[in-house]
Amino acid sequence: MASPTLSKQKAKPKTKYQLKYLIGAIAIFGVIGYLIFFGLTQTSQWAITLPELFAKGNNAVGQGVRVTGQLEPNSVQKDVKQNKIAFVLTDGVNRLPVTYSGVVPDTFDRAVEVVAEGKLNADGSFTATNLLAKCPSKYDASKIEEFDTSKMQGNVNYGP
Amino acid sequence: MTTLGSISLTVAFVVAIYTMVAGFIGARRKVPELAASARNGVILYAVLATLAVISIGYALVTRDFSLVLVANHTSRDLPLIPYTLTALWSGQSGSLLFWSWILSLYGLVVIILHRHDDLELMPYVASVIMLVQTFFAFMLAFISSPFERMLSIPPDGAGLNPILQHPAMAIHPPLLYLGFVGFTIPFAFAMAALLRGRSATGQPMNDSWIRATRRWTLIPWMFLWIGLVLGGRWAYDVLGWGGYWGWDPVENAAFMPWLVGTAFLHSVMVQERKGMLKVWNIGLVIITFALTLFGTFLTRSGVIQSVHAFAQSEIGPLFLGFVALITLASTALLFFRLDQLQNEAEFDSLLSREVLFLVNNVLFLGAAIAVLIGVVWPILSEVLTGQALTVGAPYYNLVVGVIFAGIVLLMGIIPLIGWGGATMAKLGRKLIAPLALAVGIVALAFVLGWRDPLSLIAIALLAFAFATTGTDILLAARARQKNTHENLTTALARIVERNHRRYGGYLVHLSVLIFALGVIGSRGYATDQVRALTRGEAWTVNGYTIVFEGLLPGARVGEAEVTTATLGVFEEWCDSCESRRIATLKPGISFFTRQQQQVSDPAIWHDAPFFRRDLYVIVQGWTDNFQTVSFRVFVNPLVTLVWIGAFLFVISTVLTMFPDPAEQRARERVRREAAAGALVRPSE
Repeated sequence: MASPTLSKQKAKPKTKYQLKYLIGAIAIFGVIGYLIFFGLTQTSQWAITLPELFAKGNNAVGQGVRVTGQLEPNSVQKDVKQNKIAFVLTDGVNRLPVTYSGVVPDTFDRAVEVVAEGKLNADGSFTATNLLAKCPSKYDASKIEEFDTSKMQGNVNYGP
Repeated sequence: MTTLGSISLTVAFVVAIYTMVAGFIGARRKVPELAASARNGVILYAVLATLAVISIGYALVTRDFSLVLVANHTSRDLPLIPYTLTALWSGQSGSLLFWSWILSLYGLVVIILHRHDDLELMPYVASVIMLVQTFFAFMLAFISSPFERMLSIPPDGAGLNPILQHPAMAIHPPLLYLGFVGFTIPFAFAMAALLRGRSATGQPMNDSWIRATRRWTLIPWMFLWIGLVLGGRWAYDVLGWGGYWGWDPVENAAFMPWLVGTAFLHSVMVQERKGMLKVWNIGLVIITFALTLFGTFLTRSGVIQSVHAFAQSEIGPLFLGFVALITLASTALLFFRLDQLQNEAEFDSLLSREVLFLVNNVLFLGAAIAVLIGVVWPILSEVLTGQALTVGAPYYNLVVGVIFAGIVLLMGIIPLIGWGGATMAKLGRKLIAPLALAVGIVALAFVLGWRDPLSLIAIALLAFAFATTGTDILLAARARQKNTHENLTTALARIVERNHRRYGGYLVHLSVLIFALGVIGSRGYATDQVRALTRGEAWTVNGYTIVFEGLLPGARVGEAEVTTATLGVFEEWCDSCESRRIATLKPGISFFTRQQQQVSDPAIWHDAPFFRRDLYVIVQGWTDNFQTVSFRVFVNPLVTLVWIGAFLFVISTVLTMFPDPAEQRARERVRREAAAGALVRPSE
């Protein structure tokens, strides 16, 4: 058994340290929390579907947007020399012309649904900075039969 | 054969329930027969799961297209090895079976290796493993059977997506599974310790579980790392965007448990040495395991958009329910046992290794939380603001990057500070040399053309951590030399051999630093340029002159039509000098007619010396007459260090796993004592 004086000596620094740890922990979590908050507010984009984008109208102009829409058949135009690609996203009613310059996903030519990240311009066109292609089923070839590849013929100006 | 497999799964479900109950009651009521029966249950489950896997394997090899799994993921012209066999885990039901099978093998190994250990604990461990197996067996037997049949037998299967036909893709998923599934074992040990509580003799809850758990965490943690790195390597070699990590939700789902597991591997040392952080450690084990299930839920439920478009299905909600159940039950159990998890010591000093380990833990956990918030942000933001928002690479690079910088700083400081504490004055003296090295490295990088301030700060931290870690190893070797008069290499080898955990751990750190240097170089200083070239045209990029020499269209290679461009790479051209040809690159595009899909084949050239940078070329497209081809050229500095660092990381991790001489002796002592205890017990 420790003598009373000893335990008293021990108890005193303990509380002092506990407070220090508490302050330290709050400070670290505070910094991480602020970092997350800062990252979210600085880099968030709207994640919306095409009808939602059209509903926003001019409010969406200039806003970072990640929009999902159907790729309109036969709308893809590639300019190899300028390294540009243009296509149209549609929800069946409205059409959104998109231009893009950069890496086109390998699966793009087969895509039915496309996710485009970028900004809506005032003239109603969309400038994409990143593209994602949603295939009928990318990692699961099972639904290929359901997917009518004939619709996609002629989209691609290059390739064998 | 498929009937056999199908029956095995149903029987396995019953066995899982039985073993779970038998193990629990056997341990609780101290019935040795039930405990032994639970052990046999674990073995039987492994046999049944293996039978089911063999049945699927047989169906795949014989191309039995009457099974949905076979018809959907293979075709007659798909090579038998490896891609037809790897179809086992291509689909959902197959991957569930694969998961359950791997867990059954883990269980088998655990039961066998620990057969002499803690006889009160192991039946609980078996019981918890089987609780998890019950969930999987239920899904396999009743929800998503791998033996589901087609309504009509098709003449041929749908085939495997061509971009997945790559060697790395054959081994990347099983390694990820070995990682994900393996985290069940530390969870089972932690829960077993909580379930048992005080031992029969009234001893407070002991730490034997944590000694077993460290190694059982290291194993899946290493596999998860290999799986992640291989995924990155595959992306780099195949996807043609010049990078290896995209912060995609599925990558993040695998990354989060790895982060929390890393935190646990560090804080476990504080518990072993000081008997502190007991609650925290169990918490980390629970979180790690819950994150593996939650990640599976995220990727399978379709709630989060990902480039890994897995088949979406009804198993998502079941996973969510299971993860909620596991988290609630284990947290409740932890709460119930709080009184037995008292700290045995206090922190002596703020500037001590144990406190810094705790800070390290907070940072790793913080990184995992940051990633988690990023992944669920589309859902979270919709709830909070009514507008679904999404974040991508910029968010993760910023937040996780800053947290990792803090972790590297700690990695550099911790070798300077002992357990128990250090004084500022002593620390100051030890800091001088590493700081000088950090300044020197930054100056060198500046001279070599690095200008981005963030990357300069980052490599200063790397150099600092490298110096303090290296010095610590070197000083230990020097101290040994004084006594033994060995040469330095022998002394280094000996100290590592005598203390695998400490020096293996340091080697893991050095590997991480090499890896990190590769990441900083290749992400911070990569260039990416696109240009269309006509035949014979030259283009100078970053000190290389690239000449487009020809295009060979439409050659038949297997299932694909491959179009290949030939590029000559020269030292930069100038008017008066003779330029040397240094490489020939042949990037191309393969077009898979069956799937109507093209896959780009990047050409990568590692420039000497020391593979200082990769020249990475892809074909983007060509005009109809094949006269003009558009190329995209990435120059990725230091990217080879990523792969070298990752490889060294694995080697060092394996080293830390093997018991060193001191531990070997301690284990034998414990085993003898346990054996003696077992003999004494009947007379009690």
